[in-house]
Amino acid sequence: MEPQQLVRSWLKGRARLDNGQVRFVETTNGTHAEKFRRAYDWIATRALIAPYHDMEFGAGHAGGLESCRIHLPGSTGYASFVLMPILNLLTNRRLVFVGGPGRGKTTMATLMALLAGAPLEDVRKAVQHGHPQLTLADLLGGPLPGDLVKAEQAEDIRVRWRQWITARVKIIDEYNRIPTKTQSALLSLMAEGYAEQYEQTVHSGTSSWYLTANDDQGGGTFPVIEALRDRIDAVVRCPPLHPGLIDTLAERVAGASTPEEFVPADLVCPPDELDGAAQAVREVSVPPAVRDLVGLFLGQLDFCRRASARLEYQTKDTLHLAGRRVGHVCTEDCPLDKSENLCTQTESGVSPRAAQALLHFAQALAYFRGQSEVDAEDIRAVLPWVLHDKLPPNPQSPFFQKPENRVYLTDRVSWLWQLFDRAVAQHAAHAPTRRRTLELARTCTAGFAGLSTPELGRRLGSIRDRMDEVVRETELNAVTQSDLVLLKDLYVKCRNELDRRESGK
Amino acid sequence: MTTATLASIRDEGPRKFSRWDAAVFDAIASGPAATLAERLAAQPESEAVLNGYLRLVQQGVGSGIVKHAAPTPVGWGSFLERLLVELIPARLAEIAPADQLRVLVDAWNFGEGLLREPAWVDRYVNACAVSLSRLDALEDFLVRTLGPALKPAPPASWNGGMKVTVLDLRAAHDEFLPGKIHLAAPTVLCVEDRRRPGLQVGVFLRHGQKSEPLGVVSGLGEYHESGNFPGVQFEDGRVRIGGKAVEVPSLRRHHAFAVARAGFLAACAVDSQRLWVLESE
Repeated sequence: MEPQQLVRSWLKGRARLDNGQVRFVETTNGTHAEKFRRAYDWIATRALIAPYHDMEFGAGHAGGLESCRIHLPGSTGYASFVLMPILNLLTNRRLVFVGGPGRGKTTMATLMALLAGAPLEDVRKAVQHGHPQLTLADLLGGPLPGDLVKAEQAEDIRVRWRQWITARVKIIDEYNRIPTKTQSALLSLMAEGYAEQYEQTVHSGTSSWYLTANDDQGGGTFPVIEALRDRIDAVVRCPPLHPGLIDTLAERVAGASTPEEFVPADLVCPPDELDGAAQAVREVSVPPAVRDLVGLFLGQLDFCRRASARLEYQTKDTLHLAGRRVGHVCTEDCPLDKSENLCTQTESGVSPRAAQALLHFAQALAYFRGQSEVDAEDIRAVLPWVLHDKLPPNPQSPFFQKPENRVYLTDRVSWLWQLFDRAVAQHAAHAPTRRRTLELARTCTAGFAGLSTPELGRRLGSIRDRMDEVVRETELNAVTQSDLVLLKDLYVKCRNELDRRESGK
Repeated sequence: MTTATLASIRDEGPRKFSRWDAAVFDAIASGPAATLAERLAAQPESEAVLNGYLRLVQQGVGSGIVKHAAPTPVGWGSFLERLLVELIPARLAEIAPADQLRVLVDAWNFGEGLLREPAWVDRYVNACAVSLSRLDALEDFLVRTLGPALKPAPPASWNGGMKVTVLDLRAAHDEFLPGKIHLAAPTVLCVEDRRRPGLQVGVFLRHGQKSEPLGVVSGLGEYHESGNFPGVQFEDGRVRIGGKAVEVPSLRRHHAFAVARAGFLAACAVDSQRLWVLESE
């Protein structure tokens, strides 16, 4: 472009003269991801000042003593208490804050609602406070008494739904104090996205949920129903008070101000922007190498060699269905090395639902960091918060009997990180022996219908040969079992195709 | 400037902008803005102009464009920052009152437009700002300044004498070690660091031995020129350009070089942080 044209084009900028006044046309300032990064910075430095940076990137520096290990990030560091709620806003999922009273749980949730464009007064009115007398009508709304009296048939009853149900950000305070029956209504709203009363339904729409609980274990006045807990995708712990915050707290007392009074206008994301960002998050790719790593990690957690002699049933579910626990069989009778194999450390595996949440939060983190694809660091960073309540440890494991590992029974976040770090090391260590299996699997990704019958016969033979090699050359651990199940699946599909042709069906 | 107007714009700041810096805004309000208020005091309706100026400052501080109320030891962060903090307070009073608001709006748009271009463009304009005569001639200044940098240069004859300028790129980055060199625009050079991928220093090539580093910049692409270029041969302490020998005693072993059609040859040595610029007279 000619310099004159270029300079002229700048005149159509944001600043305008309007009736003798300088005004600015509001435009999206930078990308959406950049806006969320600014939101993080603002919250972490001005609203809920967070000096605990526990989500780290880059190799960094590890130092200190055995009794006091210090990790310094090689790249950016974030506070999970601030970042995870933002990622939850980007993914439209469900997150619970746990921690004692006054730690900022509801404030953080309120800030998320303000970021989503809701006025403060509306947000405060929409917060659902859990208490033992909370009824279905309190939670969801109900018909007006007059309508009920006048109604001659069910269709005449018009339910006046509570407005919070359709809010973009939904806040349920102290959800573990809600009576069990009301929890069930909350479950269908969270899980299915609708509520029903008097044969009428209301849909919650696209939304992000923020719940709070004072008790880390989810226990409260009423036990939280398992299905409801399972629908919560991430758990974030509120950080304790740091002495460095006293000055800020003193200023707030002096100024009679609160951190959730407002969110700067340039951080507010209207629904269309949130939808755009959510779509961009889903477009962040998860490369095959990262998927393989995640698969190898999660596959190890479900595996139990002692559960069955059959490959398909060597899972902890088999044990649990028989009324047994991992601790009953994970003994010296199992030849696997308990310090190397991850299967010993957990009581159960991770559901596909939790695995999806893990990938989705990792996509959101990669998007937030300005990356076009997820890397292993993204998975590692979000993993403890997604699996926090989903992966119970097996405290009887010989792994936890070692003095240096006992601390992991109290520090679940560090425990989950070491689990993943071991998986990463194993992924690298097993790569040479798994290479041929993965190559074979890749050649089968297009299916078998396109192969000629002689080719099918050869493919069947090569899969069978590879299974024999794997059994001969490697120890039967979680990685081997997972690869054998994969090969068997390919074998069966190939066999089925061959049978179909031979039978002429 | 009424106290109420100032207070209102100041109070709005943190509610509108996440990067609001009250200290910087206050320093500008009590410094450059107060200066402007004094200079406009005699003219009618100065309040509207001051209000407009403070709106720009509010936007600049809130967007993170204005970070200082005075130049730092390394200069201004951007040309727009310089406009808002130095040039407008000093020179707006020279403009006819009826045009002042329009000049303010245009100044912002020009400054923000520059920031949307590759970083070197803003740095280069900022480096040339001393030749800005009047704020209402900002458009002419930008066209005149950017022309030589953006338009293809007329080819040099390479027949006359050669002058040598040595630039120390340490000024841009302490540990910068010049590596690959290429043109980013007809008279803008990109020097890449040999050890740190992505670290680039821009150099503006100007005749009269006025070439100068533009500092560390990012996103400098490659600009390709067509035409006939003289052959270049490096010898110990000497460069042959088109067969003509130029003594460069301090350049013993070269590492990389680039030639610009406008009549420049830039080279770096294997063991130096300096850049030698040879220009055809």
